[in-house]
Amino acid sequence: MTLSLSLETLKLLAATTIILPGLSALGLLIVSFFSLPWKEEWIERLIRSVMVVIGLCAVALAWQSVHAGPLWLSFGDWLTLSSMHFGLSLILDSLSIPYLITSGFIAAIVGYFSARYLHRDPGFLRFFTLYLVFVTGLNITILASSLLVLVVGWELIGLSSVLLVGFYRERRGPVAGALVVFTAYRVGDLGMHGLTISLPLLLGHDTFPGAMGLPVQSSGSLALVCSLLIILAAACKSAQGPFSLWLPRAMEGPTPSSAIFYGALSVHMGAYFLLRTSPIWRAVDGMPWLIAAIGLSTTLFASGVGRTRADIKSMLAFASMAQLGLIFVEISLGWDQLALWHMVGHTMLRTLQFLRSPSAISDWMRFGRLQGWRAPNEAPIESHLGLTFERKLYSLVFSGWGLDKAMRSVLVKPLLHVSDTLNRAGFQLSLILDGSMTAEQKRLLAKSASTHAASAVVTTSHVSGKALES
Amino acid sequence: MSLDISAIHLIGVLMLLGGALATWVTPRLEKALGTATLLLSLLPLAVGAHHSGQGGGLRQDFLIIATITLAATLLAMPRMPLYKRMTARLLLGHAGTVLFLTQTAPLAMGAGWIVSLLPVFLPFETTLRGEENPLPRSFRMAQLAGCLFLMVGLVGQGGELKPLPDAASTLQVAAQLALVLGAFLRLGLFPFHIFHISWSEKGPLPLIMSLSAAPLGVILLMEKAESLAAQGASHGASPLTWFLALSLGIYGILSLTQRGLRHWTACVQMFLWTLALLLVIQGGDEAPYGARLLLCLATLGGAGMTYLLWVREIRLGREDTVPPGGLADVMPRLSGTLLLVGLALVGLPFTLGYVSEDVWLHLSHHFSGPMASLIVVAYVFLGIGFYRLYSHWILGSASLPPTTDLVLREKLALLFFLVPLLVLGVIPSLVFGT
Repeated sequence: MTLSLSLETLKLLAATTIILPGLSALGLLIVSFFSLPWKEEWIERLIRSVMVVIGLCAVALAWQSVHAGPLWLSFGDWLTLSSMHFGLSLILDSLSIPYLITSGFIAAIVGYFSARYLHRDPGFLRFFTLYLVFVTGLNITILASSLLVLVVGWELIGLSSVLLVGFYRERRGPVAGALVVFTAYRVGDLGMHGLTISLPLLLGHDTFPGAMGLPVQSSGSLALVCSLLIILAAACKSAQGPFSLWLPRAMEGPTPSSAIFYGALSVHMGAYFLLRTSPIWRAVDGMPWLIAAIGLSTTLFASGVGRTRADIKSMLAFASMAQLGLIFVEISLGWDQLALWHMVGHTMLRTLQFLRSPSAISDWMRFGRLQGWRAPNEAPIESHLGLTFERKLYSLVFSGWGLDKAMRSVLVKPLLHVSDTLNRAGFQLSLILDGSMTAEQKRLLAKSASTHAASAVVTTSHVSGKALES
Repeated sequence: MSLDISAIHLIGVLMLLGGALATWVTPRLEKALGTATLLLSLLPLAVGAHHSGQGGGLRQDFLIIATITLAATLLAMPRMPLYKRMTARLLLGHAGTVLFLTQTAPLAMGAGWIVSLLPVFLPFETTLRGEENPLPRSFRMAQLAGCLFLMVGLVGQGGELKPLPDAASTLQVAAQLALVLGAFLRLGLFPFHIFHISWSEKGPLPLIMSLSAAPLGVILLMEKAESLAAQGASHGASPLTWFLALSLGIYGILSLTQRGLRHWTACVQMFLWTLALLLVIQGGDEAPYGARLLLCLATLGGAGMTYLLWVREIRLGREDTVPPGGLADVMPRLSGTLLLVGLALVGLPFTLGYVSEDVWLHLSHHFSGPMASLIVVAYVFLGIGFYRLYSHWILGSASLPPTTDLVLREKLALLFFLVPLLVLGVIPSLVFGT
């Protein structure tokens, strides 16, 4: 027996997976803004209900998609400006449906876990507001069939991730970590903004070619630019290549957020985006090789650095990064199904590991010693390299292969220097024009050279210094 | 029955001027008198807007936003404001703004321009810093110069705002240039951005809010940009468009190491105004829509941001020159709203910021590749600059004394900005679109 759902019902179900968590997040925001009374149980029930409804919708959509094949759901125009149309549409296909179900399942588990983990935490309401924003963004990103819609989800995922990294906002480490994550995501936004300009020029619309089975007919410099922008956005989101060092810093957030964002779902969105846009970059010679090179180098880099880390969440972060590198390689080789199922499997495993990480250490302390468990004290490969070489290698790998230092000296510091110089020049000019200088202004002027630059770089240097100390 | 629309609008302006005078001489009743004046002045303005039948122009947008801002300011005005007779100043400035926005005669516009600046020059009795006038001298001089240029431009054009003819005389070109210079000085756009930044640092926040909610220079520049686009300047990258694009890059770079959120707000407003101009000059047929979105975002978001910083200043009773941090612990609602409004200005989804971002990005294919790249990079820097400041000023360990978060009156006033920002972000076709 085949249960067939009408197109309108499918639209309603797909929209529910987005609107329901979105409205719930808005509701919690209103509660918070107007200081309305709330109880943990109410929020817990709300989360459960939302996730159950999303799960049911996802199953129904999957059922229909399996029987009817890929479906493209158009919701009409969101905005029309003269001859420009901004349409809203979603896609149900073999890429979106498995990931929708997986993400719904994982998000539900993490939501259930978090309600206990954060019991009586002052940030309980804030956490679940951000959690719902994240779920909304995730579902939008997964179901998006055009760049316009995808960017909405992409940004919501980024924002909620950053705010949860800085969840413990009274501590300096999480705040600094959140700034680094925000900066990395914003660099990734360069790719997204660039694509918003160039993709319609390449395709004549901003719907993903794979979503409608449309081939990419154009190649040449514009296709190359689009491909590079796609890779930039994907690499920043999935912590690949030179944009990888934000991931360990993101572990400053509460464990459930580390699990859902950086171990499981958020970090895979870059790979998902690569799969969604594969007809574009595969049409350009050399792009698969570039993606493979980025993935492979990140795997080698992260595997090495992960081995030098002493805390469990950092080790898991680097392990995630390494696995994502492999997923990038699989995608570049055209093994899309393998990459998809690798993502699903990796999501499950990492969620379990992250959620288990706090109690794993506790269990080891309590029971492991009694039973004679020991951490391995010999590295099988490095021990054959000689002590001097081993130490040098360790030092190099421990410092993250010098990537952090290089990024700061090549990119961050020169940029801040230019900005600081321009600001100081304006400040001095305004003082000259005003003709008189107060004591406070003199103090500011004297300090401006150091204060501006120092306050700007304090965050990155603090985090990198902390990483080195650890 | 035919109605003289200009005369009806003038009644509203006169009411506002009368209200300003009344509140100036009776400061004890300033709140009640201010509210009554605003409410009474709405009647002729509404009648005028209804009968003018123009519908949805930029001037009307600014008029609505300026009125909303004034209403929010009066609603949230504390009993002990940092500056005395602030209500009178606000009403006076609003009268000038309304005069400029509702009159099409150039001399009336010029008068509106000058009246809207009077609050800046009226003597301040007390300030938080105990200074006679908190505004930097350079800023006041720049504004005077701006007024002078404007009047020279208007007189040079024979009291009439019109596009340059093909065979323009030197005098006509000079008059146009004077108008543009006047507008640049008024707005504090590059290379006069230091005036805007120093004004935003030292100016009384309610006044900044009121003036930035209706940036009159933008109207002039938009009208000039439209005439430039009509004359064919939109073909190819001209020195003018490159100048505007480079100034966008400079705002982006500047925003990375600003000292405070006041300065950052100035940077983002300058960015959005300039981008709107660039779009109109080179952005094709849909560019006016994109420009309108950007300007509404700049005014609504800028006013909202300034309002929040004002509440913070009132509550803490100080103006910090170094980031104190820890505000999120003592004023979590204000901090959260500040984050929302700040991110809306740099393209947060489900806000007007995202709509305008998406539209201007789609229109950017009219620019050359390097120019579009420069603008996008600058825009990304704005976002990083905001979050960096947010981290330093709002987050971190609490070093601030416990204080009251947003009270109901302030929350309601905030809704004046938040609701349009959010609703138009979800359903932009309510106001924008064709």
